[in-house]
Amino acid sequence: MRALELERQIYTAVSPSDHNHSVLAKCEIRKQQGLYNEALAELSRVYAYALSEEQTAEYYTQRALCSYLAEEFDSALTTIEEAAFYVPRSELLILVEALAAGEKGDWVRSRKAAEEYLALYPEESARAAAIEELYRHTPSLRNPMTAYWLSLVPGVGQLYAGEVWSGVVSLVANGLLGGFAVSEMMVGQWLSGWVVGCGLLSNTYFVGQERARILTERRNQRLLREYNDQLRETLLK
Amino acid sequence: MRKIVIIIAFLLGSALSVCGQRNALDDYNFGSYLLGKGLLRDAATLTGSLSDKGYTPAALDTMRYLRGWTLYHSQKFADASFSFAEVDHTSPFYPKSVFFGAICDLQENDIVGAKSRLDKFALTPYADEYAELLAFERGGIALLERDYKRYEKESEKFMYDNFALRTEQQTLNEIALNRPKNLSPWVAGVASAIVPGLGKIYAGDVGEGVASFLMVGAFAALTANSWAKADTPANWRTITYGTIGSLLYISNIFGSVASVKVYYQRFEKINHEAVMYSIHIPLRDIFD
Repeated sequence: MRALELERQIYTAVSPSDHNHSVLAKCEIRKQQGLYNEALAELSRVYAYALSEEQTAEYYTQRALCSYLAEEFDSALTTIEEAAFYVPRSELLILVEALAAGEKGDWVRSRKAAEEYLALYPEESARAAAIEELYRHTPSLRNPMTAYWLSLVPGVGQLYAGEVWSGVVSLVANGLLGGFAVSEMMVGQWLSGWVVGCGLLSNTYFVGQERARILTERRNQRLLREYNDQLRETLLK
Repeated sequence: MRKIVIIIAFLLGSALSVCGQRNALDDYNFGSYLLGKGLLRDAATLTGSLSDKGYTPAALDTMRYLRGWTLYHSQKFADASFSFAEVDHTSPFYPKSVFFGAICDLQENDIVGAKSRLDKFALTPYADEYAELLAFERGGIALLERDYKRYEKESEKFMYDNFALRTEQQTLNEIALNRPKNLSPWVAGVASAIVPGLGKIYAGDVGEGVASFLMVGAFAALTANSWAKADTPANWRTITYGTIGSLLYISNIFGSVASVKVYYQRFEKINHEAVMYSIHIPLRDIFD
């Protein structure tokens, strides 16, 4: 209901300044409702030329924060870069930069922002130590395409992705089918060797390559999620 | 004294009525602005509870129409249909509410509801003004029901001189002429028994037909090859490949029978979507 009242104020606003005031207030409501994309849509309606200094700071903070909450991490980081030209770095902007850069796996940028953020709280040395420790053990992400090409030798790509059982299954399945194809050809059953052995082998071989790539991507996502959950908890403690 | 009280009461009532009208007009303009901006959540809040806002009956109809329009844009067709149905025939938004209400009914697969809404509309004074549109929508519904005779009857009222309707009227005529092929599941099954995959090709699925032929053919070749090399069918290769090939052969026959049903379902779906699209488009041009 309050959002509707604000929209009516936007509708009847006589000055760009009044319009901006109501838009920012409505954005705040949508953010509190957890509707981050709608909050961002509201922000796109501000008249940038009519923003006061204070409103400009609020605008960039909300845009970065809502982008982060909407899981638009690239957009959050770009907003922070853009904000540097117009407003001083606020505590919230620094915090969002640390978290968003962490989500993108950009540990250098994330760490720099986190240290800048913690410098605002010199009395909290324990938290600073915990963060320091956390950045010392950042997850080592693996390249999905490396896994894909390693799977030229069946199972090795899966081992690279940390999935031992999947690697063993791939190795055994490919070995059995390859063995069947060869043994059939050796006893003169060429058709059976080619159609059944090689036909199925090509499937398991190429599927195994693709699976190794997907498993590596999943592993990276899991490690990033676990690490960033920890980072967020520690930073916001 | 009594006369004074009556006069004051009358003036107060008139003032409240005028005030209610003005609020409704403001709300209508505001609601139209919200929809224009795509702010459906706000429009839904505005039109959510209408009974406690003291609107006059006419204003209430306007706001009911606006609620229907909001729900229609939000693709909540069942609720939109209900809101459109609440708009009284005295409202200037009645014709639009009827036609869009019918579309909402059709979106919910309620053909009976759409037909009865249009039948009721045909009895109102608006019927003459919207006679061609009414025939067009009824014709579309007849096509959805595959009642081609009823469609021909309705299409006789098409004048083909209304810019908003002309193209879609021709499209409906084309859809009416585009009848499904008369396919038999038995013929498909027998064809696939003779040549694996042929039944699927007969039902219009060439890709699946060729795939079936290759699969069954490959296992038949494997079986024959094993049999010939061993000079007897009693060896594990012939038995394994023969069993798999036989299962594929039988499932290919059943698959071909089913593919005729799939053909009719696909035809029905494409037809349905084309008709729904065609009967929807002119409404936006005519009423917006």
